[in-house]
Amino acid sequence: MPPHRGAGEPNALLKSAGESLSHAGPIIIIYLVLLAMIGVLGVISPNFLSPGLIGNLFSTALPLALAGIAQTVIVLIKGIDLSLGSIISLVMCVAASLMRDSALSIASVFLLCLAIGVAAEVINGLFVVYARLQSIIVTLATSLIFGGVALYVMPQPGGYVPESLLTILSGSVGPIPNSAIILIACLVCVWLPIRRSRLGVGWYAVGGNESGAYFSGVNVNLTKISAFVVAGVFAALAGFLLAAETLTGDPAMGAPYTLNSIAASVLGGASLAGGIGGAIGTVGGAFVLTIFVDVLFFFNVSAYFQYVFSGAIVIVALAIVSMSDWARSRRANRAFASAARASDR
Amino acid sequence: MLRVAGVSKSYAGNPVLKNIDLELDPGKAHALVGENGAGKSTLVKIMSGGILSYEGKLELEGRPYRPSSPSNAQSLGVVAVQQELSLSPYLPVYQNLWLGKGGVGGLLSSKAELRRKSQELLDRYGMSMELGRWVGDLSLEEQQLVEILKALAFDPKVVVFDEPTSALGATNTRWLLDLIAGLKRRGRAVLLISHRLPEVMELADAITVLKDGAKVATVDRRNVKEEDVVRLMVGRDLSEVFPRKTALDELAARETMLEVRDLRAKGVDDASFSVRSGEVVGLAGLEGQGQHDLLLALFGANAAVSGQIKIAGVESVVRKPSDAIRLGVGLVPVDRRTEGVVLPLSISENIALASLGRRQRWGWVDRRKERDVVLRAISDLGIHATGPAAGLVTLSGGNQQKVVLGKWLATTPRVLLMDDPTRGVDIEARSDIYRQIREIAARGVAILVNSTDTLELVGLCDRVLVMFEGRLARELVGEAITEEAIVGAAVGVNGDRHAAA
Repeated sequence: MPPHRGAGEPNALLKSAGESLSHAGPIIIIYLVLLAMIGVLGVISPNFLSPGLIGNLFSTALPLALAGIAQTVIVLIKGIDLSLGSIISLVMCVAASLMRDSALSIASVFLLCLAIGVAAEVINGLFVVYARLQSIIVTLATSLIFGGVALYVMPQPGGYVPESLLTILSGSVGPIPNSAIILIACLVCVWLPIRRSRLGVGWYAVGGNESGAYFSGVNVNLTKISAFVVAGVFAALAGFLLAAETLTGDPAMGAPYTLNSIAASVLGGASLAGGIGGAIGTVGGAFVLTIFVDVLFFFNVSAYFQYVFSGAIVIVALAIVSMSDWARSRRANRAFASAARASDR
Repeated sequence: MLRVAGVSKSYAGNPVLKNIDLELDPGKAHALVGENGAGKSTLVKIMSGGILSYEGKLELEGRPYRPSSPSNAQSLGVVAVQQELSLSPYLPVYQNLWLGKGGVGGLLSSKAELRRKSQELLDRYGMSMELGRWVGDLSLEEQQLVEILKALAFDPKVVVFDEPTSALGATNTRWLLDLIAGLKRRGRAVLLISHRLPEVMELADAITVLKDGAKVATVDRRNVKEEDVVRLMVGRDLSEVFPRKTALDELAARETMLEVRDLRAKGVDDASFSVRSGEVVGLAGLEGQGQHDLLLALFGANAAVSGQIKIAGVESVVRKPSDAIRLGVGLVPVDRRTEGVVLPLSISENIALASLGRRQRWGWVDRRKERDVVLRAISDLGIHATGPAAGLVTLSGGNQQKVVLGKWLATTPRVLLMDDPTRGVDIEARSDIYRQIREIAARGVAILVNSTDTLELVGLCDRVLVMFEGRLARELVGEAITEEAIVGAAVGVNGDRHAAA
């Protein structure tokens, strides 16, 4: 075990201050906020906690949660993906224009959607990694390209999505909505294994300090490309499920997911400076945002003001996080200084 | 001219300056010497307005002096040429020279006027330089010259030079030393901080020695010799700080672990040498003579152009760091924060990072094995922390450096390259690190350590290779490793002559 120093020493103080900075903090906070929101809503409107509405909440939040995870993965490697919404639109349009009722058709279109999502993100990744462009520029450009392709595939909202998909999505196993099962399956079967593998550790290392990771033998380029691949998978899932939920393809429907996915990541504790964040927190962030919009809807706030409030909540949340970090480090410094004076005497 | 009275400063409870008194007189140069981390640079920042919160008083020409910013200090007549350059890489030289100086170089002054004033400045100090080049395109040495000229642009009353010659070659060092002598003649007060004692002995009128943040003594240069100053700087017996070395005849029996033949790479010209298992070999020389580049080449971070590298007798190709790691070569990089550690991650994740591939089960990281490795490293190296999950940001520099060591120990290396491993590390943690280096060597690892601290090389190494302009200029073994011999070889002169000086 590590040798411990006496509590009177300044170093011991620094360390206890440091531990409260651990990255679990934001995740706990976002879920506490989520619980509080659900609690308040439950009191205001007991209907809200009915199984039907909870199921509804899960299926509304699901595409945003998945888009948020895709964004988080890119944010982890110190990037940002502004093309996410366009990829979601593209996937949605392809799904709605090709799908037929047969299970075979649904399955093959699903695989095609995954391939499109991955291909689109790999294009982003190749430009970021090998052309050494900043992700914000690359994805700003590709968002126009992917959005244009989506419009080409389906100039007007429409297409056909089998209703059986919506039936599955809105169904439930006992009290647990199927959309919740899908989300948990994505976390347990895709996110957690990656997080615990060499690959996931690589994302955090590369995002936290690229040259430090390189000097530790991490293959930086491959690690970054892999993050884009995984983001593509989650973006495709988000687009496909959005098509299933709305039973249409719509070349404009993906657009809001770009900024909302960034908001969900950040609310869930991800740092745009890279290396900090995770899917669990992001899912919490996605739910908080979704419920927030529901609440505005409940109070009949006009759709225009919903954007204003959504933007405000993100800024306020970020300000709270960064101000509390600052206050904490100031407290820690003062504690140090007084401990040092005491030990001098 | 400038008086420092009872100045103290601490960072997060660690005192870096304790009750310092200092007096700078017009027409005199005062030298401030001490080991790395003695608090010299902090004192400079306080005097030049870079650090605002401290205890104690400063007086300039008899009046209280408390600059509110570097530009305020400058307008009061005090400037510092600091180790960290303050230049803007994307502006030309002539704009950099007047940067941040009220009235000049503002939006209203024309390019031609700035160029003219810059040329005057250069002429005044006998320097020539192409004024239109971007500072980012200049060599480090040229940038340092710009930095010096920039400080002198307004003819300050007090000039502080913090290691001004560390980036300069012989010609420009001479230029600077003459420039300082000129400043003295014109009645300016100069504070000179330098590791190079010959410079100090040449220019200074008084010498103040700092050690671990406290003033040891101020002495009149006429009354002391270089050795006296060194004794004051070290202030203790070397054997207290450094572990015992391995006997030379014992080393001679060990196998050769690293063998380098005719290596050419960026900054390295035809290097051939070998390191035995269990041996600690030092790399010495003035800054930028290829020591750093040699380590990068051996680690695969700079590609070797030609030559041979043999590890444990096997010829090896090292093209990138992951190749080196696979072959059992680790590097403790010089810039800990940007190359050594990943600050947002925990101790545990940092230690595990370079050896992740060894603890996989079906592609997953084996958490239990990882925990064992991490806990062993924490206790072996004496890393002071609340536990393996503590974030690296919460550790002191010394403890972060131990984490970097732990990371490489977890790879069970055969060769460990260390690039100035105690830079910015406090004295207590330093002596821990020296002990660790010896213990790692005792396990049969071949260690090659670059250091800018000559005393460290003397105390730590079995053998020292001195580099000069990319070549191995001299090899010193055992008793022959002395500060005088290292410094002499580093500046490219005969060591014996230097020792006699």
